[in-house]
Amino acid sequence: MNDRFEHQRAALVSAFAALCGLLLGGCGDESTAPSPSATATVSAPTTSVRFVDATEVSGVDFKHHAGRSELKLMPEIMGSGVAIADFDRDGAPDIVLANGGNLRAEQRPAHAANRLFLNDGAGRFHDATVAWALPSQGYGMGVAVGDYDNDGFVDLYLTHFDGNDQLLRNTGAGFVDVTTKVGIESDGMWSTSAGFFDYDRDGRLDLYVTRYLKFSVADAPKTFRNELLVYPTPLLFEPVADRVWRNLGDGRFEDVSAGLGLLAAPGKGLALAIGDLDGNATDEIYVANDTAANQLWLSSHTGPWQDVGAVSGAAFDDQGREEGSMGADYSDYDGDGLLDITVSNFQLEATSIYRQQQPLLFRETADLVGVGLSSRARLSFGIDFFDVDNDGWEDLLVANGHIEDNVHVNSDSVTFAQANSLYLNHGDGRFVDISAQAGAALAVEAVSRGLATADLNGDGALDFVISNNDALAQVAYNQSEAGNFVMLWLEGTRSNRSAIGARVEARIGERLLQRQVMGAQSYLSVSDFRLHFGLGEAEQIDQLLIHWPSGETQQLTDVAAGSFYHLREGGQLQAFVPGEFAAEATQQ
Amino acid sequence: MSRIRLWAVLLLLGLLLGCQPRGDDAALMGDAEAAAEVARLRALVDGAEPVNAENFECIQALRRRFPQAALVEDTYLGALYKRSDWGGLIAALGEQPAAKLDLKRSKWLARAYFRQGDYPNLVSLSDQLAQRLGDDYELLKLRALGLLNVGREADAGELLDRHWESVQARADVDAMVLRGRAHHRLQQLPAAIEKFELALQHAPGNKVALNALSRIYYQQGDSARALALSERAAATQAQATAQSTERLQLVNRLAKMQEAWQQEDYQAVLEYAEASVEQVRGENRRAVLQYIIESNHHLGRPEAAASARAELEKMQQ
Repeated sequence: MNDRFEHQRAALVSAFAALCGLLLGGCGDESTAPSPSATATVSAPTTSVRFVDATEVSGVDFKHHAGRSELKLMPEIMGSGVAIADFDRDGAPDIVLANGGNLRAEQRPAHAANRLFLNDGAGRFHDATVAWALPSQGYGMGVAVGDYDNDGFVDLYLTHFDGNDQLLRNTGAGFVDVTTKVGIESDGMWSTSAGFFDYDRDGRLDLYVTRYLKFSVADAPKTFRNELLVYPTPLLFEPVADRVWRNLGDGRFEDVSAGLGLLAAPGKGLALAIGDLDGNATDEIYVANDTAANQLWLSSHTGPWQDVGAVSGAAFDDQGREEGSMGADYSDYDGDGLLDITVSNFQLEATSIYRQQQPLLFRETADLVGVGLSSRARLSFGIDFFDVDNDGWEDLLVANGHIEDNVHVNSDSVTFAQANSLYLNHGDGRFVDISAQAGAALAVEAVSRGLATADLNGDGALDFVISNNDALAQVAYNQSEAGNFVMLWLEGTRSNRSAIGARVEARIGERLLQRQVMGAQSYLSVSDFRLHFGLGEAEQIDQLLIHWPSGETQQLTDVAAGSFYHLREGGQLQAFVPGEFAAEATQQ
Repeated sequence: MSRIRLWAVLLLLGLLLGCQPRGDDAALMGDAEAAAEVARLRALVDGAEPVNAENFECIQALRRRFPQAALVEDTYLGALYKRSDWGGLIAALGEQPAAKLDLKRSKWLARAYFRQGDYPNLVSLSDQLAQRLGDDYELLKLRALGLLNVGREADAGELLDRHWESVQARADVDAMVLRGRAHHRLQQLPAAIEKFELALQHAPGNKVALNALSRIYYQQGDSARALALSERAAATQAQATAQSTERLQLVNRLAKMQEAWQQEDYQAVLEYAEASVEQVRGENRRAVLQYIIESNHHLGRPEAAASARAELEKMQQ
């Protein structure tokens, strides 16, 4: 080889590195401007909110195994999900954590098993993975739960990088893989978040599976930033269309994606939120896509669904640009009766707060409400609205962590492991970042991904579980000075048994709180279905209006604070103690 | 490079950068090796190549040795800017009183605040700069963006209105869109439509204007028009995404070509090189052609090598 070639090779290296330097690095583009909208600042807070790290005392000793390699294969950095649900029907929420594995191994390594932890009601968990025969296969991603067969035991759906997802029927004492039996088939594509919902309101849970992009381990492309190999940008890959499986009621599911119009609109879906945004008793499905327009599907029983994400103002940042969207949730954070949407995004992109100004008309208000600036300093995945201090206003928890394990080489100010974010809702439409003041659990820096919330220890205050990439999961208990509460466990009879899609209005004096049972939110995860109402100083809910998915509306009055209640559709409230619920799970 | 030439280069750089000589500058100029290193790094910062971690560390090492040298500091700030390290740039410049910042550094800081989404500080900085620097067009636009994003839409609109002649003279589509967004935020829908339509006259594929218009028409109940505009925006975006993807795929192929060369897999080198050669220009094209020549030699294909060499020689003529 001659000297000139050496010279030209060097020229190529530097020139193509220059090209790399101009290009993107991850799930989003840190070289473009962030999404501007309006800003409001709230002074540094003092808060009584406290979360303690209870990982060790809880007994949840789950470690995620990413199998990260020098090849920087994209799934290695995506993490996995967590589901909080009452699998053994004792009234206490249990935890399932999905694990990753090794992309180049034929089988999931034993140390990278999915895990089930059963709760005694007081927040002490024991591992029931083997006893319940929870399987582990492929490279794990997301978790969804719902009682698809209406037998009283919530079932489990696991998504995987290779698309070989599993539907696991819960017998009350273990899981049975019924994927093939019910007709759910893989097409080999990467599935991420999933959620049960009843879009046709027939009382049987259907299933939405979000899917990401076409990635080949054997021929993985490379992305560089400032000449440094980093995990690849999604822009290099083709999107994959999502799937909807309709529950036929005879023990089988049918793929109805084509008829609903989903195949014609592939995104790069990572997250899913499903609920009734405008109170018209049909579901709106929000899909958070990575570097592609987010979608807001208006579901219909009869014909194709319509995506109104762009025209409604919920698809992009304030400037009409796609973002690296990772997680999503709904809440009526401002108490105006209309649910709003939050979406977690890439570093230098604000966590979006799409405020619903009129039915299905949104405005992105992250900066106006005080979330913009601090959220741009983090790369966010799991996200959940929940009321941390029982004042009736839903606060916002966000799981953070970069996607470039070598980002520190390229930046003096951005790190791979990041602290998670907690925004306290002031009740006047503004949030304040209290992460640094809210206790040791929020001081931990990790590469956080999946996130779910629930009252794990039965004290009436909401706790959280976060799955960290290639690290221990975190369980955090809420030790805040909190107001009164009511916890409501709904079970459908004409409606699906999990009551997914139920919308509840609680009138407390002049205030009206709205909560929904959502089958999907956050990132790869799902939170406890039980509805939590923070009452502040109030001693009771004066009126409770339950809009069941069946179309029935049920009214209850004078519901005393401080209790956990179980309510079957059309029945009466029954107080229970978490961990001691003894009702039989009978067929409807 | 001789010491005299280095001195001349550094002096010229200093003059061009508007740096005030400081104590360490003299020390730097008296150290030929360090001066040459600064000149090299400065050229890197000003050139097309990225500032990688190794070179950035070189700049930081010089900064530790010559903490007061203006040329080193300017090179460091330029490197932060080039590396899109907005947090680092704000940390380096944000502590300084705005009155001490020259125009270039003021703009860097303003852009960094914008990129970081720190709109309150952007507005605060532009408040101070407006008094000192007068009507610099870019700073005015950044100020308007800041005002819009701290919820002062009317002030942002008023600022743009005052400079509307400049906006029109420059056919500044971004400023037109910005004015439309201020109207839109204030629900002045007819005025917003007018500004977005004006922007589209100049740039029919402007995605922000298309998306904003689609939202306005949807709000007004004209779903068909809204969806048509939304589809236009999506088509524009798809085109932009395809271009980005093509560049990323090119980078990926070139990286894999080099890997294959190191592994002496010449058939793979050829495949990657031949798939890339039509998309690269200048030095890159010459280098890729050389890969094709050398790989064909290794594979015993002299005719193919000769053909590529002829193309290379034609280029070099």
